[in-house]
Amino acid sequence: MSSTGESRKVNRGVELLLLGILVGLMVLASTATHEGGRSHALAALGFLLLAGTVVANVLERLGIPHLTAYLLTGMAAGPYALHLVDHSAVQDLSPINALALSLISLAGGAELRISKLISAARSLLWATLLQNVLVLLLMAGAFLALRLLLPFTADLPFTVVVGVALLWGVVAITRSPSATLGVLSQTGAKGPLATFTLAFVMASDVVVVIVLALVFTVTRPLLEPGAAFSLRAFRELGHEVIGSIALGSTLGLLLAAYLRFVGRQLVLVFVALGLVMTQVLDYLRFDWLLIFITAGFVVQNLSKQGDKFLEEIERLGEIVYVIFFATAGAHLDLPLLTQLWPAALALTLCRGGFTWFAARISSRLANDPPTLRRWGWTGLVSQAGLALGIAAKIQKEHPGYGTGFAAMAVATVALNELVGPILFKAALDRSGESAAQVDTEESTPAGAEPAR
Amino acid sequence: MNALWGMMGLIAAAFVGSVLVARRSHARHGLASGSGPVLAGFLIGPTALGLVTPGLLEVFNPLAQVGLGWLALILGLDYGWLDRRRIPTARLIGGTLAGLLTMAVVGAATFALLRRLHPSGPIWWQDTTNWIVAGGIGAACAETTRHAVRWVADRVKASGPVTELLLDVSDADDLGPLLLCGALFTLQPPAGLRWATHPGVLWAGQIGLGVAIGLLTALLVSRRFRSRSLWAVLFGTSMVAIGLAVRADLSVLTVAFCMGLGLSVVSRHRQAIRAAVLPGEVPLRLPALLLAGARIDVAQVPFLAWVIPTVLGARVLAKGLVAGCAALVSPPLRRAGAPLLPGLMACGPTSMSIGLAFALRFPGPIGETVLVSAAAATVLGELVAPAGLRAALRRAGEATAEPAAQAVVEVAA
Repeated sequence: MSSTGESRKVNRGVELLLLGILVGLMVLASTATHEGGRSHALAALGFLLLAGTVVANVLERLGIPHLTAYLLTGMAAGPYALHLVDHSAVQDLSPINALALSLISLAGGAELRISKLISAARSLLWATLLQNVLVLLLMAGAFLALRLLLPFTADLPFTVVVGVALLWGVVAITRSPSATLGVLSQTGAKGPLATFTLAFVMASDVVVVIVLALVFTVTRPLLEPGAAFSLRAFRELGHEVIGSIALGSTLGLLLAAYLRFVGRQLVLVFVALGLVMTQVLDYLRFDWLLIFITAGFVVQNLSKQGDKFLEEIERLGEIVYVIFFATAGAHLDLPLLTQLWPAALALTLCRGGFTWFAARISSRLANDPPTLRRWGWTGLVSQAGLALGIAAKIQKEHPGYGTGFAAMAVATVALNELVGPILFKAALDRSGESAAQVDTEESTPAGAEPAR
Repeated sequence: MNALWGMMGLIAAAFVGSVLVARRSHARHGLASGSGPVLAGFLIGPTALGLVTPGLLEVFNPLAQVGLGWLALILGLDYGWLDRRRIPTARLIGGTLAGLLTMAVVGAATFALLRRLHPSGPIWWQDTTNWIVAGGIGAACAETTRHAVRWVADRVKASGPVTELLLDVSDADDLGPLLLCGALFTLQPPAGLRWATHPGVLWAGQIGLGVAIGLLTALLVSRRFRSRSLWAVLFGTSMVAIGLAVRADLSVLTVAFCMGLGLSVVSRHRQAIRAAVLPGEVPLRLPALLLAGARIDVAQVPFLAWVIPTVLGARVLAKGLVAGCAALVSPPLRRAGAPLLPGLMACGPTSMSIGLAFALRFPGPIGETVLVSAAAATVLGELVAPAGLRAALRRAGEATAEPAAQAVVEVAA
């Protein structure tokens, strides 16, 4: 082994030692201080950020994506494992999620360039059709076939189970823009696979919301005997989607003007958007994810500020993403996962298989390049917030079976959230789209001065 | 005003302040002590317009703690340095002694007053409440802020040994008060801790915790972290330091200052770290000062009419002693003459931060007395210090431009 390799090994060992010291400090703090309280969130924030960064750095050698490392860190430190970060701290950190998701949406929109979308339009259209319709129906079928493994369906009439299966199909077609962007941000990947995945995943958020309204409308008579068929959901959806796109376009133009004429303190602007504007938009019942995607898209395609915009988001994102994914890991209900793992694993495998199958067909129909044919499905495996949001909505509207449904959704999302980024990163590496990882770890930051 | 508007207001304050600083026009606008946000906070607080309620302020306590910690971290990183120049050891010692002397005089005068006002209290050495109040006021009133020295020096384009000396001494006088804050916080058993611990051990623990996290940060930064991870490491370690201090009811200022000091002493990358930390200073410091101003509630201060004049009188006396001693040992300062005394009265962000830290740790009369005293010292400094510093620098022959003339030149340009 070369001296550089040995030195790297030693350095990783030192990092792990430092991480151990940090864990020791947190254990000491947990033992010496009273539980609960808002003050715990600050230490938890720092710990998750630091531990996530160190663990990601150490696991990078094994080819594990950073965001998977952040998730694992959160799971290990969270209330269900080492309990270094307690429930109340995880709850208090939730505003960070809104900030992270707003950044992810803005970045996602800004990554979509019209020229690339036009070049990938055929692939996107076929994939959107098959990955949404075919996978939804196949997953509903799988759900019906596996219903003996799903205790919450045991006492339900078959027609209701069919309705629940269709809802499960909607949960199954959700993807994770955050995971996609996280992997792309780490790998710096450029190429057809990266472009296709990003465009598909960003668009799928909108498609899923529309499909959900459709399935809710169709399944309502099945789930609630005596309920009338109503298109009210579509009217509300129309208001929400059109209003959000209009607001997003306005916001995008305002952001472009700000970048052009002021251009300073963008971090504060993003914080204001993520922490304050999201709450206002929620209150007004607009879809702020769609608003921010549209705003990012407008900045990128209708102004010359796109690159500057993305650079600023990435700077803040380096910190926010770590906290977001580590908090998501800490949120994962591990005891529930251990209870439901056989059914969750079966459903996860089915989803992965159907996604691969739909990708093969859509690639053939769209005459995709070989890279996309082979690896196009890998970026569509990750799931995150949208799936859990839909499950929570179903739980709220149908408390009877909804609790079990939501628990199963949490379990499958956990598996997809862990496996998806690994698959996607491996695909980007193997397809040669990942940028060369210049290891500058030994480099000295600028401005070094002799020690005193 | 609800939490959402409060958050928006804080972000707006941070934004406006950052833009002003970025334009480097702060040398001509705002207050010399940099305490404009305190005034703005006071105006919206319960004493003046009453736009914010105590309940709303509670929501922003974590943000205030982060602001305090970040400010103390930067003070620790900068301790002993003026930009890229090391401050000579003799000046460091001199500045530290000046801070301690001021703290001791103001603290002793306040303690004597409080004992007189509460003659039936416990024996003087067991009177922990009055020790905390007097010590806190002493710590808050100890500094001469660099902001004012720089502000005046920029306006009159001063440079020379007196300007340099004043900058060095005003940098060094933060050490004593910031360390002793930690000791004062331990005089009342921290509610956050499960075990009763001797105050001396707790004080040493705070210093040890700060230094240990500083060393940990230095190791992480120097080992193998790419520069793009530098901010994540710095932010993460400082949040751990601040969070652990808050969680245990210890002094955020002491822990974060010691972290910065430890990091500055052992790391070869002090400049890079400083460059990474500095952009976050204004967006965090301004909301913290705004919150400090908003927390001022003079109605909660017992014997206000006695305490404030005593504190201000003791501060004038202490700074007079400091100016006299400085003139004795430093020939250049002798040339500055009598105006040096009002010049040394400037105080601002550090004083208000100490006041806010006490208000957060000891809500009610104890904290409010320290915070209001810090605000009173800041106001007095704002009234007399700029003119005093200008006159002192002029008498020392280091001021090369009159503020009014400079403004005319700039307008013409």
